[in-house]
Amino acid sequence: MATKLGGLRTKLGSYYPYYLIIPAILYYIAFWAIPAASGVALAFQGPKGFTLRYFQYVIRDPYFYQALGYTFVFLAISVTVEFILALAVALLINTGFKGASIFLFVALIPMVLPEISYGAIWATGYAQHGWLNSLLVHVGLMDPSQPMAWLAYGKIARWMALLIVAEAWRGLPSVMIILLAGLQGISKEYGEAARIFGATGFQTLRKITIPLLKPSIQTALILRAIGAVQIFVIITVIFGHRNLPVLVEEAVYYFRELHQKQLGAAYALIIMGIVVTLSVLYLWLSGSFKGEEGRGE
Amino acid sequence: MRKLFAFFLIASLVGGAVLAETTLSVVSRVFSPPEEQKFIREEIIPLFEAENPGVKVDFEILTDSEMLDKLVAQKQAGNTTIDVLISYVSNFARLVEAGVVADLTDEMDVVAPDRTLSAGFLAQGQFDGKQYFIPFAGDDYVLVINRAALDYLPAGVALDSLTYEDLIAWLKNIYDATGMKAFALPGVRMGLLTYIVGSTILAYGGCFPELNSDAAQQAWDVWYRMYPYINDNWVTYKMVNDAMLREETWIAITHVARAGMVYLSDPTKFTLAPIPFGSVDRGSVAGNNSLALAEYAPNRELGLKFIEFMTRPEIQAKIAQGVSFNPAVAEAVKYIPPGPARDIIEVANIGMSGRVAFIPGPTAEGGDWGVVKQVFEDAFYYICARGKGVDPVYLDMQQDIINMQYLEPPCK
Repeated sequence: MATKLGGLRTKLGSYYPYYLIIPAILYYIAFWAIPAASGVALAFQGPKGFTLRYFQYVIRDPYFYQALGYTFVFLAISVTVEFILALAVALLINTGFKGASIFLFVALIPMVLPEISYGAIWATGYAQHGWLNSLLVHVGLMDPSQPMAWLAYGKIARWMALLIVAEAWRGLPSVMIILLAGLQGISKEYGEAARIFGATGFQTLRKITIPLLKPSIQTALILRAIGAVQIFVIITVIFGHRNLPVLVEEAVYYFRELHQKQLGAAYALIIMGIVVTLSVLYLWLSGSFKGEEGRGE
Repeated sequence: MRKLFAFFLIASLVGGAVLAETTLSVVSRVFSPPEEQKFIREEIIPLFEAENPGVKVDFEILTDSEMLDKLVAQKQAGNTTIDVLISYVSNFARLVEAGVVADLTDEMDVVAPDRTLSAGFLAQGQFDGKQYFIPFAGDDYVLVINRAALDYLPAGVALDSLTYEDLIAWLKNIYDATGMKAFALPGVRMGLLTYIVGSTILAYGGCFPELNSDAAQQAWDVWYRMYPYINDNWVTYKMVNDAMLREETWIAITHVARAGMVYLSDPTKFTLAPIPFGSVDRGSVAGNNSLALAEYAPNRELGLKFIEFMTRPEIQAKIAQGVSFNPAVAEAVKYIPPGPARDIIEVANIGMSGRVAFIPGPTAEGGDWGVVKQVFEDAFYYICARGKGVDPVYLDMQQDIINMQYLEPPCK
């Protein structure tokens, strides 16, 4: 009997780690899985049962293609810009120059701001009598009698550039911190060895640092790409609904402004498909599915 | 250890005292700007709490859809917390259909004794002969002007008799003299643009929401000709008060509360005028913000008391003075002393003396006021912003979309 109980304890003991994650699993079921499943069901829920009409509507909706295009343009440019800038800042901080800690602290401030706050900061900046024009006037780059109308209607390319600048301001710290963590994990000996063999700084960066930083780069880019597809709060704060349509903003617009919840859910499902596809594609391209051996090849 | 014990004892006593209070939950789609929320929380709600010791009012701002979702979710869960709601006319039907607002027909003597409520607004709050909504504040529109613009007012034109044609000439004068596109139009989607254009259509003898009649086409032509003088950033203006206060624009037609916010900031710098005349009269699209009792309100009696409190003329007057909402109770004006706050209400009421349309909530199944607004916005973008001009075929197509939101066309 005692042996049997002991055996049961051992058996239970082997499941011990799983007991620990039960609260987290329950939390995810209640606050993630059930709402997500409801969202999926909503997208197929017509007045007479199952339907694909909402997806057909989305596919016929000219705003969908516009939103899709703008989302991908934003994703491609903003992620690239943020990555290049973040890498430069991370490399700078990693040199450990005097004041690097303070610089790091200041650089991280935008990351902790709520989206609505940084949206308001940039919305007031881009106003005709906003701080950006004031700054340009003060440095002598703008005639005060002719302030720039940054947010003038129909200037989509300019709006996209403004959006990328605003988003880079906030997104850069999160990419930078991941890259910096990766850089700090790379032994300085590699760099020293490269210098001894006569490599220039750029060659060291290209041939040693970046390859060793690949896992961090991968993580940062996937997270930022997903973040870029999900952007919408700052767009509505600065430009308002539908002036620069992107996918999530369209989902919100249908769901909240036009009260067409099924259409909003259909949009959400399409966005989820895009995000999953992007993540899988990137992981496949970066060789993450090949396992340890594959990565070493 | 003793200190820790004492701390927890005090904390539990304080917590207990707080829990002993009755909390009246009020959700509102009105008063969303932070200044207005602050005013209601600090100047109005404490008066009610003082009258009702032991009562704490929890005042929360929700969008229309959030409010409906929350009420429906609470009803389904059988755990209701909301007592009173302040909603907008376009959502009344949806709230009634969802069965989340109480019939107040037999409570009129309790919620609005000895006071005259706007008959038009009251009618909008009735469904199947039952009164669900009690008018609280009107949405109407006025012209707010930076006094610097007065130097360019066309000769012989008075603000009180300004027409849309005068307004175009005035804006042109400013533009020719200063290069400034001085007119601020709130162009953000789902904002005020529909009501402002709608007011012009009424002023030219049209109906609202009808955008393809001869009168409506005249009104669209006014906006088409005014467009070159509208500030380029119009499309991102949600409330024009920021643009007016920053002085990047000088003239705006906007909601009375937003205009009031600008005017009260400095009456020596800004002035007000009634909404302009069209070829027929002035026009105004009147929105209706009303109070309702949640069907499953946990504090029903207290909720009724709160509705009564909010429709008292002196409270309505206080709100009008604080945040410039136009009172829905006629007696309130008497309680507003002469001065800037009263100027705002009087100017708004002049606008309401012309052709007024009360916003007709959609009646068709699945009909939505958001769609009506989108149609007006699309039309403005098409005609004015994209420079296509007045196109009757396009307007007919857009009107069909509006008509689909109703069982019968809203303008016959």
